[in-house]
Amino acid sequence: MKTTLHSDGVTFVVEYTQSKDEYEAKVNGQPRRVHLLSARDGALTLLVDGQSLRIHLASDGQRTLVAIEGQVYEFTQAQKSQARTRQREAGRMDPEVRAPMPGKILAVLVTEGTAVEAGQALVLLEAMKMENTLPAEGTARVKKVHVAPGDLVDLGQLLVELEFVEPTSAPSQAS
Amino acid sequence: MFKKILIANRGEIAIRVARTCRELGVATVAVYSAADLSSPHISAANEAVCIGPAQASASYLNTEAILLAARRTGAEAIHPGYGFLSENAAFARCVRDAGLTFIGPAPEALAAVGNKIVARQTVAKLGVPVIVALEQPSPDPTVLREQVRALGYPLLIKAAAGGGGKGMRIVRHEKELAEAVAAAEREATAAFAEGTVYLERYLERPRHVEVQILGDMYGSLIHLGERECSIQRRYQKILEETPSPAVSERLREEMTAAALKIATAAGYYNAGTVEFMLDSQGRFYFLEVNARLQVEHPITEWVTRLDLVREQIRIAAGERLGWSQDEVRGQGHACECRVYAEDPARGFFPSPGKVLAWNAPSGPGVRVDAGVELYTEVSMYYDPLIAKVSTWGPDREQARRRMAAALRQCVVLGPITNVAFLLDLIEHPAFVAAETHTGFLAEHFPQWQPQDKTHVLEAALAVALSQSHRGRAETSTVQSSSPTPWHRLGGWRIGV
Repeated sequence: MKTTLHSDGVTFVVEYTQSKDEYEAKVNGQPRRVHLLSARDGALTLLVDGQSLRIHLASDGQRTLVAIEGQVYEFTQAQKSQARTRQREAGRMDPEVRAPMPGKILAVLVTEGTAVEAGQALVLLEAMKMENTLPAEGTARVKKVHVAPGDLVDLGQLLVELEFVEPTSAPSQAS
Repeated sequence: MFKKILIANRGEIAIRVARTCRELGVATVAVYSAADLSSPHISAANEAVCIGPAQASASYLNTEAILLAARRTGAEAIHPGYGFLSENAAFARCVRDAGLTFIGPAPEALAAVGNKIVARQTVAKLGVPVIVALEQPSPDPTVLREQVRALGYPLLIKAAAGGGGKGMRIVRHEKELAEAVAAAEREATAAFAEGTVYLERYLERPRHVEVQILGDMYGSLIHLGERECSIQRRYQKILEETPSPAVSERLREEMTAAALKIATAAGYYNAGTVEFMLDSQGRFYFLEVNARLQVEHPITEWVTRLDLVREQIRIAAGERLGWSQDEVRGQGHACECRVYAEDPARGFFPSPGKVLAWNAPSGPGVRVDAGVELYTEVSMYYDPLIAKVSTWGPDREQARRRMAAALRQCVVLGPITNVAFLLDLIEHPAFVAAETHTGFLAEHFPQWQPQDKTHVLEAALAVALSQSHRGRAETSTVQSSSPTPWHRLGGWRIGV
């Protein structure tokens, strides 16, 4: 059985042969011997080449989060992932700035036509007792502002549209 | 002793207070908002009362609803925790007027230390150093520029009613001054309904060192040593330790004596904290008094082996302190890391959501004060602090290594947390060398991204395996009704 996964712009091809609890696996061509000791409460106990690991997973079907030794890795199966980490690393920028969480608009720091630099604050959003700054991802011009101070916004609501000055490069998709 | 206490707070601190009450044989009443139905602080208490909708202003800050809940349940005292109404003199007065006991200092003492300008003036009169400041900035920009010459740049604007970094601004150049004062006044007005600000000389690379004090209503007042809380982001503490590696025995004597002098002058009783800035030459300056239990109190409990909540309740019940200064001896070293539902790779943006996997570290010398458990909804309405991990060791290095090991055991999936960031922080050479100051994060972690890919291949193996099993599990449910773990993995929704 072969599975292709993506995490942070890197592709992992995992091949399992044999079933039951003892597997011969290959991950990106590297052989690993995997022994599944237990799978319960959302966690696996695996021996990978004798190394024992407790691995927690949570998934929505499209993405899976994996916690090992204090680190969290995010995986997707679809190649054209919208995972923000990939987007950021690959330099593909989204011209639509959306609310990353529900909250209240405290201030809109730009107007239509404003030229902005990467990292420049566009909107202040209050949520979880904190003021949060939503920055521009790259050098751009503000095309349209959709909110005003005091507005209550929902998760994913469009706040500001940008036009990037440099053409946004599509990431090369490794397969 | 009280028979029943209402805990006017939520999350980890409400659970922590309830734990001590159980030990004391005191019944507890939890209060909760409509957004907190899944919060474990409800079941940590013996009774629970809904006090309003999600917005804190209508629930956890709603004096009337809280007093009504206390009356209906027959609670005799109210523990305010930290934040919310804990330092609100008007609330403390209302509690007293309702014939109940406020577990904290007297309303008069709260008022005396609550206004930072008044507190500064009182403290300066006692001969305790305060940072050079301009207490009455002129509204006229030209006059203001003249006034500020004496302070020099950079300077710090602070709100008189301040707290939590609101209304605070660093000004490095004269041309930013007028706008920064106006912005700080706006922010302070919005946050505290009181826009008064003052300007202070900004110390570069100071340490934040605070002294824990404890006093009864009969004039006995002792200190429980200091804590260093220099690792901060936007004036929010992230990592604390005790004792401070920068405080010598002699400096400790001076700082604790100053703290006790300030508390005595304010007529302070119950638990409190006197905060200082410590500059690189070992000179300290009064910052403010936190008239409540601090978030970071567990590290003081580790080294003193006292239960601060127990002492708070005993003192409020009119009991005597029961400890002399000589009987309090700090032993070993403790540190605390705050686990926040924030994404450190995206400018620490809050990340609410349901907790889908949860494992609290454990073991000798490890303590976890958590406000969540599996399936708790981390709400957007409140503070993003979800847990505090604290460790003790015979010395700093052993406490630090224990912390690193504990954080590797810590699992939170669902909300994005700062656990991986905390690990990098605790292992940073400058932290190991105890070279800490309030600009530490800005200096060493300006653009943090997760780096540790040690187990990414094993993670990929686990995901592929789980997907093959999910397929099997779905087909096997036809024959077997026993739930498999993989079903649980299906309900997760990420905030997009």
